[in-house]
Amino acid sequence: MNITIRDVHKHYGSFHALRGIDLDIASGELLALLGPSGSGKTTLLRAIAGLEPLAQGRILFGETDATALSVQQRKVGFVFQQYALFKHMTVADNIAFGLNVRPRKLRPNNAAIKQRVDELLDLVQLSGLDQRYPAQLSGGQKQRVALARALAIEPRVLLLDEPFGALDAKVRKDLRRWLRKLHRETGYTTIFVTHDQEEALELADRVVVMNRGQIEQVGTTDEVYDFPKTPFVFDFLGTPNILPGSIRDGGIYLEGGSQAIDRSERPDGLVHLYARPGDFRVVEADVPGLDAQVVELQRTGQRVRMSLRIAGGELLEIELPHPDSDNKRWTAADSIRVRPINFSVFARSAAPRDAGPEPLADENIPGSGTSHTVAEHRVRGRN
Amino acid sequence: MTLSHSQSAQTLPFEPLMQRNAAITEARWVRATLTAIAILFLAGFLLLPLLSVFVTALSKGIGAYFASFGSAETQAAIKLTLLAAGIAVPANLVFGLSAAWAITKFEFRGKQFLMTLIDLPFSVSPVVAGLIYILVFGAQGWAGPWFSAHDIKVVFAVPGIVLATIFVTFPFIARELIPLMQELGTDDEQAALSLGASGWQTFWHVTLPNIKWGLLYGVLLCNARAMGEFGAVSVVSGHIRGLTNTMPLHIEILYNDYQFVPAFAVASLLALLALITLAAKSLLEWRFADQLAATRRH
Repeated sequence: MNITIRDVHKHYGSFHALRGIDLDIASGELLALLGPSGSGKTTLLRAIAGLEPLAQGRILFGETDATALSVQQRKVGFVFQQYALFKHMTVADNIAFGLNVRPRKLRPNNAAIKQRVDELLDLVQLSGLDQRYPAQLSGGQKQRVALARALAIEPRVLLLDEPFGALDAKVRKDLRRWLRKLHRETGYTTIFVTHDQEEALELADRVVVMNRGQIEQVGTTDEVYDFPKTPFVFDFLGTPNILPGSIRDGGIYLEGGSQAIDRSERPDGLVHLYARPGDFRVVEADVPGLDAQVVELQRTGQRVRMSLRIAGGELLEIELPHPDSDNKRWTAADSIRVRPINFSVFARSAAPRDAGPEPLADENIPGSGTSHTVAEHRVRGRN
Repeated sequence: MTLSHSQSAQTLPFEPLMQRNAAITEARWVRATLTAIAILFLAGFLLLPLLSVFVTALSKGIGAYFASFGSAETQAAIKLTLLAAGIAVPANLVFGLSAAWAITKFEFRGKQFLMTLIDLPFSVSPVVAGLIYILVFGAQGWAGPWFSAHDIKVVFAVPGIVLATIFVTFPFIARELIPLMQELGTDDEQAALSLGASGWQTFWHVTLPNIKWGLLYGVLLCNARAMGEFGAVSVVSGHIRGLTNTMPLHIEILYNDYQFVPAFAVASLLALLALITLAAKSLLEWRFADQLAATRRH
């Protein structure tokens, strides 16, 4: 079922939790709502489920306006962060709950309910545990029971609130892969909330990055990762280096560098250049770049993470293959010249890293950034 | 694992249940003194008086004891007490559930005020509680003339006694449920609703099973107090023998008439009811220990 969200607002007292959300969700899509705590992602999910009344805006399920429908009428499968399994019921009774509470005319007979429960147990790989109580299950098993319970009512859409938040790392990874498979098999339109960018990128078809009650960017995982539209998105999807620079005569200059790093169509002015640690290369002295001193380095197998102090005194975090292509093994206090090869440029204004509650700065308007990939860069040792 | 354990149990037949850590525990004499104080206090102030009730009641033999319950006035008092408790407990059950539900599941103005109001019967003297009803429903009270015009007697009659009992036992169930339901949160209910359950189905199949132990405990406490209430009931009762005397009031009257055996016999019945209440609670806790543990674990 495709879902259309138009101009949705939500207030909690004076707190503006959702500020005009517009979103189209395609049928059968696996969508992630990604953002820090307080960004409104869970509120939006609960609004879709009908658990939060809206101050303004409309939510459509297909062609039907669901805004005025109650939770029961919306027929959504909602999986709570803490699972909210009924503790006094067995696994089978939990899964059958949505069928058992139907009015007599719509309720399948007991044999049909039992069969459906067995199918779902099979689907979530918990066959044989039907007579257990939730207290006797592990976290991952509870999660799957909650999912089976939500699927039992054949929901129009499956909504998952931080589905892996309460699980340990190993189980989380397994469940992620399993959920992806389940989604492929069942084809339910699925929306999940997460604050973990890795989880969103790994699992989702599309990612909605949210901040302060607004959508910063919607796109496929590649789009949001490779072409972040706002500093916030760039910052949230990884831990970028933020380098001060400027645009002069169509060229991008870094502070402390005399040669342009790349061309730019932007008007002249002060900018910030965002680049992830892995998007730097060591270059020769005649290539545009930044001179720096290695302050600290940490080898992790085939890669090395380095803290560099650049000319201005600021620290730069980069990550390189180790040993480098010319077999150079770096040590502390080495001099090095590096160049960002993938980066985005955003107009400079107040507090780019901060996601605090102050009003939005100009630069947070989607589309204010430009993404760059430097094609020709002479890497040290290669020529 | 099991083997080595039983072996060590064999070699050390008096293995202590818990290793004492000398660094964090008190000296032996401190522990002994504290335990002794607690036991002596309980024995002196609770057990001894309770025993003396039964001893005095049975001082003239078992025949005299049972003969005490033969009088019409005593039987009327027992019936009235059961009636008052029988109305007050269900009324407070409904009220307590509604109040706890409203306070824990909804956000509304005046919530804090409602919580304070629920505690009022605990802080107000029972005598004041009784006087309130005289002021409202008494002959000189503001609603009194209307009731007497319609030939309904509230004060110095059974309705007044029931009202006073309800007032005094008002907080027991609500107070028991509010912290429990606050801890439980609303996720389970929201899950049930999202699965298509109606409000009533959600309450019956999800909320009630979650709170049944707290509810039962509240009901037992409420019942014990409803049967034992003296002060507020005394003010509104009017002490009409055989008509408006509850068991506690009847005991006082008998005692003041120097009828010690009947007084203590009725008192022993009241004490027995309280003991049965406690025993019922312990029995249920023991019988359903595994279920209790299962619902408490998350």
